[in-house]
Amino acid sequence: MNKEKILEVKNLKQHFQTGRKSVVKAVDGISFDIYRGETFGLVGESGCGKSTTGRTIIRLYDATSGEVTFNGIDVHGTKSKKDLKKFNRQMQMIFQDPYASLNPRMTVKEIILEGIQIHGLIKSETEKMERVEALLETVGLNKEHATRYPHEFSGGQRQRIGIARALAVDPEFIIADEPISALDVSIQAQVVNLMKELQEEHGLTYLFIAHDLSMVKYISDRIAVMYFGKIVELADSEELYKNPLHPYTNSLLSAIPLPDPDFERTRERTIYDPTQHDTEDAEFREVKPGHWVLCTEEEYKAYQDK
Amino acid sequence: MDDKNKQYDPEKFKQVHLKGDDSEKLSRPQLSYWKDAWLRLGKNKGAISGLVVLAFIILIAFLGPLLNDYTFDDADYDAAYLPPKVQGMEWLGLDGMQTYEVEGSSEQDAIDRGLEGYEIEEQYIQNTEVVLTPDESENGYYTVAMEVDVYAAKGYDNEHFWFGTDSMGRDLWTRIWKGTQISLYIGFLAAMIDMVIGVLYGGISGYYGGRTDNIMQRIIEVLSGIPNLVVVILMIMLLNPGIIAITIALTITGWIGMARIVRGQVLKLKNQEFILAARSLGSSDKRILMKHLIPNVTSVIIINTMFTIPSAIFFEAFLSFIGLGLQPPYASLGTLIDTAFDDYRVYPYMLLFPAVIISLLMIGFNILADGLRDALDPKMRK
Ligand SMILES: Nc1ncnc2c1ncn2[C@@H]1O[C@H](COP(=O)(O)OP(=O)(O)O)[C@@H](O)[C@H]1O
Ligand SMILES: [Mg+2]
Repeated sequence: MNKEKILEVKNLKQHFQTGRKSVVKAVDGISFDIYRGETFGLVGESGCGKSTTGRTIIRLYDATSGEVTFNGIDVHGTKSKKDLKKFNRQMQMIFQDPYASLNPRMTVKEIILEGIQIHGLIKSETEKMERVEALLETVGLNKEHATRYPHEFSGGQRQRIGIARALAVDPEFIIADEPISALDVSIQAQVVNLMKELQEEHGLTYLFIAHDLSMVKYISDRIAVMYFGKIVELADSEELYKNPLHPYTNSLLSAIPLPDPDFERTRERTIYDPTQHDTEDAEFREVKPGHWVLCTEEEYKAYQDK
Repeated sequence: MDDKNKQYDPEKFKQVHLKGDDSEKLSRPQLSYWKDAWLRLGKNKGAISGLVVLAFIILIAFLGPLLNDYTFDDADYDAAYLPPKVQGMEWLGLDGMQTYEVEGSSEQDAIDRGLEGYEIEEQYIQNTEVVLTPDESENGYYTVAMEVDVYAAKGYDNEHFWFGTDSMGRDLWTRIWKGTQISLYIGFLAAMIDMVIGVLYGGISGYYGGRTDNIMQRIIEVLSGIPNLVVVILMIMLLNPGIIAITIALTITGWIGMARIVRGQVLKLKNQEFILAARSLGSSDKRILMKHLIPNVTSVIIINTMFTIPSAIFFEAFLSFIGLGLQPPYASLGTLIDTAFDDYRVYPYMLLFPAVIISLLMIGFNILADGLRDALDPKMRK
């Protein structure tokens, strides 16, 4: 794999003012790079700031501080309309809730064409229809579905429509915010496989967000584990799975069910207790090449001996 | 693949689920949201009868005044207080006969007094009947019901006032339907103004949020804190009572309800993922408003407007009833009821017709609005 960075996130913070004095530090100083063509998994329990991270990267929220550089352009710094338009086409998002992510008053055709309309990519009506049909086929839907409304589709089908909408503007980078967690287990694999195929065909880069490790570890090249607004561990999937260092990662791994009754009978879930170690002085340190952990100086030494 | 998986005998298995695309086919006929809603409304008998009643009333309100030669403001004092008379519908009581109840020391005395009091000659009496004898009454007089052919008595044999006439001899049929027109006009106008102001205000407040929303909501709180009636009375005293003054008075606080509802909807919608998706595709604010927000609040706006119309009509009637309504010779259903109320014991027909019409309007609009709510927003159904 070539190691060209497509996205660089540096010390990104997103704090929400929720009252006169109260602030929610949804994302609190995270840094990572994503390389072109890879799938980067972002995992953490519900409410730890994963969606906020994704939405801040794609500029749905203005960052409190920190930098996001995409294809060499400072995303939050740029004011140029042209750059923003280009950015909107190059980076796209797939959403979590298939029932809330499609406008109930639009037909599938209108939904898929939205980006094409906004950017004026295709002018003629027949070409637009051809494009919609091609996209429907790409995501495994029937082209007769174009004139239907979202409420007529199942969750999995809706998610495919959402994918077609994102693909319509030919993006390079897609943020998938828990795209399968609202789906039936039987449908989850289908959608993941579709995303994998699309990645190969279109050379896509994914930021794949999930709340548990079970599916992510199969499709991600690298994984970052997030805990309360901070990334606590980042490594290649294989490495993270085999050699987890941070206690929170261990706890997440212990939660993955295996199709093995003997193992399941004896499986014990480890619960992460943040008071068990010092989190105040913790810094993000590279324990092994490419394996980063949020830890104190002492822990750092201990991890290196492992 | 695992070798173990291949140990089963395929002969023993039968496929029960269809493979691939077949299961993804949609069998339902395709319908747009509005067509679907229309079909659902059509199945609601209450809403359809409400619609029919309303259509009927609105139709006659406009055609009615053209059906006879009287005008709504031509006074003819000789023709005052003529009861309803319709050719061919005498059996329904619309025969132009007026029943007066008169009192006297004897039956004949009561009749004589009545004839003198109402300036009627004896020959026009059709029927008399003793209602109360001195033994039954508290004051020791006879009470006699005497039925008089007033049309003949006043020399209007050939006239037919379908709903009768009022104290100034004006044709009530024409006045009532003109009044219905004015009531409907006020109702629709007030509802439209409420809608425009409410949607804009609530939409802006909800969409921009933050400080804008905060300030706008405080203004609403202050406005809604002032008793409605005080504002209305001030407005009507400030402007000369007329259709416009009443409409403005109604809308000054009337839009608040709509603004609150629209704001709530927009607040709920603006963080929905489909709006975020549009934004991440680079949608402008205008496009999000026109393509995503408005189409999704339209049904709520329609439903709320349908409830506003009858309440505006009713509030106007109420204002008229407490003497703040339209000034003569103009009339609305409310002023007609107000004037009829003075004499309703002797001339019940003057109260009956406008009261029935306003009731039908209220019921019609409300059950139609209810049906629309069920049809447009099945989730809101109780
Ligand atoms: N717009 C917002 N305003 C205030 N707080 C928010 C907002 N969005 C998210 N949060 C808070 O930030 C935290 C992280 O949320 P989120 O990123 O949605 O978590 P996740 O996607 O990991 O479940 C939560 O505590 C949530 O309540
Ligand atoms: Mg989330």
